[in-house]
Amino acid sequence: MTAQEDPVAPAGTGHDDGAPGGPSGRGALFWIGLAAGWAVIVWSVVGAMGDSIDTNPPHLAAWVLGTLVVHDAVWATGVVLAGWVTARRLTPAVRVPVRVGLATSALLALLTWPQVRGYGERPATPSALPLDYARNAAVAFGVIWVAVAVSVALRRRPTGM
Amino acid sequence: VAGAAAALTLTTVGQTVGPLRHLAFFAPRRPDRGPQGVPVNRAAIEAGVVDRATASSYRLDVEGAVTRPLSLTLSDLQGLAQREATLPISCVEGWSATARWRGVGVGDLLALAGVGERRDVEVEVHSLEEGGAYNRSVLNHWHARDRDTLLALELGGEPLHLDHGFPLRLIGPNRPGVHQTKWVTRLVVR
Repeated sequence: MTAQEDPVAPAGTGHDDGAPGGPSGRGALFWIGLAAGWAVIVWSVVGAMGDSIDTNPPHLAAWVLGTLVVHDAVWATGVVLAGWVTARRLTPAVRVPVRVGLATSALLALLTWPQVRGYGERPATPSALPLDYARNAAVAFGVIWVAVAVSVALRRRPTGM
Repeated sequence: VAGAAAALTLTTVGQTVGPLRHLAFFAPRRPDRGPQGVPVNRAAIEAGVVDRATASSYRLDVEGAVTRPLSLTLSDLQGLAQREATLPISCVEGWSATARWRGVGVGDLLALAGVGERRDVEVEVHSLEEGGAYNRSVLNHWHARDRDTLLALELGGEPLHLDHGFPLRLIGPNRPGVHQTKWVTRLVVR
């Protein structure tokens, strides 16, 4: 089984110190959160090492660190670039639907990539990845961009209906 | 993000919610795709049990804390009283599929082996599969005595497919799929 958690965490909401005293004050909540967070991390690492036959720690480490690198180097850069281009090139009526379409398509591409590529296919097990995921992904992208087109058309319609 | 999450949920939830299965565009399993219409997590070839599961020397042994150890052939098992149960395979992979199973009640086998009504009975269920973390499972008292806990010989009115655990698999209520041991060859009563 492969973990497919969304590595694209929503952009952080800044530093939440959990303290009402302002950004520099670190209240009890901060330290409780820190202790709880580290406890979970240590517990996970100990568990992963203890179950190393199933968890394969080097692969796990590559996955955890790799997603960080890919997120910062590729994903975040792409998002900034897409935002910049859509802000400069598109009128406001078009911009929002196109941005929603881009974001949805990007997430869909990321999350369906393993199925489309057939990661986890096993010749002896016909019920593993039994569908035509490339075709289904194409249909889903079609639906997204038809919705974007409809939305753009509606927003461009002269008001006063 | 919310829209994409909703779309992905809608297109994968069908792997366990039957009526939505045709929307399960991206589900890695479909509850109706597989031998006998039920998905398989681990095929017989992958488990390396094909030869022993189909050999005429196959036996189910019931041993351990029993007064009458049993060693039953496939036809012995078919000759015992059969029970039926409609139960799901709920796999930790995220899919579930419900089917009609028929076979020998584990409780009936325990009675046959002379295991009394003691409350602390536990039954280890061993597979023909030699390696792997899930080549055996344990039935506690409640699971072992439940009238729906079967060693199934049939799925949907047909003999079990080899990939579903032919000749004999465990199926019981409220157990994760990985503990519905397949290719069962030995019960050890404790």
